[in-house]
Amino acid sequence: MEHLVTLAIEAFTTSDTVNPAGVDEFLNGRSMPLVEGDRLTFVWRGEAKAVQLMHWIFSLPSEVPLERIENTDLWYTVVTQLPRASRVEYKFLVETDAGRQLLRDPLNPQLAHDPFGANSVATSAGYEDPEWSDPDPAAKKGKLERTKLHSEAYGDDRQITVYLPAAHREFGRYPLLVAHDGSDYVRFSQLKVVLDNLIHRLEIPPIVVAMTDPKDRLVEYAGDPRQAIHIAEELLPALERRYPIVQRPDARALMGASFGAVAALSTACRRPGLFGKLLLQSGSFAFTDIGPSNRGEVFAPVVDFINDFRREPVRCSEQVFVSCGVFESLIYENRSLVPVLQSTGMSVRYVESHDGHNWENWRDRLREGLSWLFPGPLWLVYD
Amino acid sequence: MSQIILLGPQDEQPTLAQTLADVSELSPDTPVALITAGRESREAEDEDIVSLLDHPVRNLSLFARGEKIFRDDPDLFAGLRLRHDHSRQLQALYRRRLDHAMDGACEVLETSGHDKDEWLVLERLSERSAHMVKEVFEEAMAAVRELDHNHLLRLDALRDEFADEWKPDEREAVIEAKQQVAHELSDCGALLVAGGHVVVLLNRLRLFGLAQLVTEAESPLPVLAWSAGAMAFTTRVVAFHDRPPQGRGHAEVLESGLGLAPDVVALPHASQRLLLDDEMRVSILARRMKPALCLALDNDARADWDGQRWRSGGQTQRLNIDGTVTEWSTS
Repeated sequence: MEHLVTLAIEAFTTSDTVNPAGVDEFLNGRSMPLVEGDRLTFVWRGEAKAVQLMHWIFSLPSEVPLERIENTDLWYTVVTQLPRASRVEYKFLVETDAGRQLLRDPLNPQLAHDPFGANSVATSAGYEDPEWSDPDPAAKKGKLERTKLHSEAYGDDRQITVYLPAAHREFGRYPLLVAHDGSDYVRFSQLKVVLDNLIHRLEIPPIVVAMTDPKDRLVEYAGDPRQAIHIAEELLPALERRYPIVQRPDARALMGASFGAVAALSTACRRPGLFGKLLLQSGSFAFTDIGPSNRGEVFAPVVDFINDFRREPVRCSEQVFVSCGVFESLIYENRSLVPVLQSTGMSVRYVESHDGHNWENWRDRLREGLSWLFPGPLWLVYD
Repeated sequence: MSQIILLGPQDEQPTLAQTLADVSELSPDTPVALITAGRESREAEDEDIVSLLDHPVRNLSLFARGEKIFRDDPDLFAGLRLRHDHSRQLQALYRRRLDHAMDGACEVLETSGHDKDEWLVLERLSERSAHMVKEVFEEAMAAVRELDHNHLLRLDALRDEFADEWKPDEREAVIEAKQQVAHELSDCGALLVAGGHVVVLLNRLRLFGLAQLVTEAESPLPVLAWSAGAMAFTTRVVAFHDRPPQGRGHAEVLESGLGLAPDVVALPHASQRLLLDDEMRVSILARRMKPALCLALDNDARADWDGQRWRSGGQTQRLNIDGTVTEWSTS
């Protein structure tokens, strides 16, 4: 597409103020990257031998070199045709005499955190942080209760965090959601805030959420049969003994992202019908039945499980919500899974976003996924 | 004829005590009756309302009494469940058709070049074209109104069939419970009806014949109703939300109400649930519901029906067919 409007950086480079003072003026009051239509200008300022934009858009070259503007220490590159409402996480790879360093954008206050640290965030026009993921003073707050559960399957103790909705009652009965990587969902996807808000808004009913965390994630969540035993035979009975939970499959759900989604699906497949709802986000559903996978040894058990599932799909649940970002390398695997799930007769809703493999993408899909799996009484209750 | 007063929600800016003082001169020891059946199993948790009032409050416990009836008369319960299943089925069928009908009406405008700021002005069209578009749009809205109307007729027919077949008013468990409620209500100076689940509330009000008790009371019994309570006393109960997490957000006709507060559609929490600055949505809702008037019952809203005419009060707003939302004035 031809762009008729001159970008701010183009105007600067052709101006007669291409000097350090001019750079100060150019940057003054501007938040980076610059968003102009579907074009994003990324800027780095500083002495360096080379600067590259490292982003997590799978379909584009992952290292985009920045160009230095002569007579200045300002580097830039323009990313074009980013779809509306896109969200991209990025860093700069800066090479100096001291070596190469991966750095966040100091000119951009927008950060996204994950278990490995934080990335800078760029968004195109039309993207907004969902207001339902911000704490709402009017929403009554549920509580998190930490408890320990001994696992025979794993031969150790497991820490479980249980979300109890505000004003829950001993004699009430609540649906149950088991969240893999639950602590990360709370820290990086604001799961507790989202639950408080959606319950307050009647978009979902009050639910109990059991948050589990792995000890050896890439093994336990890769289709490990011990995980299904742990969830179905240890965690679920313990929760049902202790908390006021509806003891029916249609009131039980499993959720997870990435390897957590594999854990959720494989648990459901090993105990078909036990969990009536699944929420699978950016699942690492690698397979090799139509070509080799280059994802490495850690994916080997996942590949075995998904190949089996694709060969003989199991009606393991009733409702499945699947989401994936189009900037993820896993988009192909997730798209491929949808017809396989549908072929079993399960009700499947599949949603894509212009985002990558990250916790804020998973946060942004929670409202749609949870309210589809657990519709609240929004239309009928007027307090 | 009893006075029916529709109020805005009472949780943030309660106006209940002041309104009660305005409409009746009750002595402090005169009890007032309260219905919180919309709260379902939390019916007894009424401290938030009781604490607002200086009168003894008598909760009529319609939800709990209803549960007892169903335990004592399982046949009636089975019949009622069947009716509710049929109602839900009808609602699902209606929703499917409604989505298409509403989309059709909106598309008439969208394909005719309207934009949000000039949606009915149609300035880009010639006079002749604009006239044609308006005519087609009105026809599309008439189709939606007909769909709403027929849906309501079907729901009413289901309810009548149930009454004919199961004769709830002649069943021992119901007669006994109704007598208890009538007795408890007999020396009360007013009836207060809180919000909650509007269908549950409406079903309980019907089961216990509250409309009859109110209208046939020896001395007029003012009714103060808010949120779902206000909706239940109108002629048509309309469920609404412009930004639901699922679905298209087209308002749905849910049930016939008790009809003691006629000619209006009660929209509690309108400013939270509706996009009141979206002229197209406001206009479409107002057109759909006409000749009934859409009232936004937000905090401090008040609408009084004296049996003959409406009187506005508080901060009540109305939705207009030109897409605006303005203060409602009956003076």
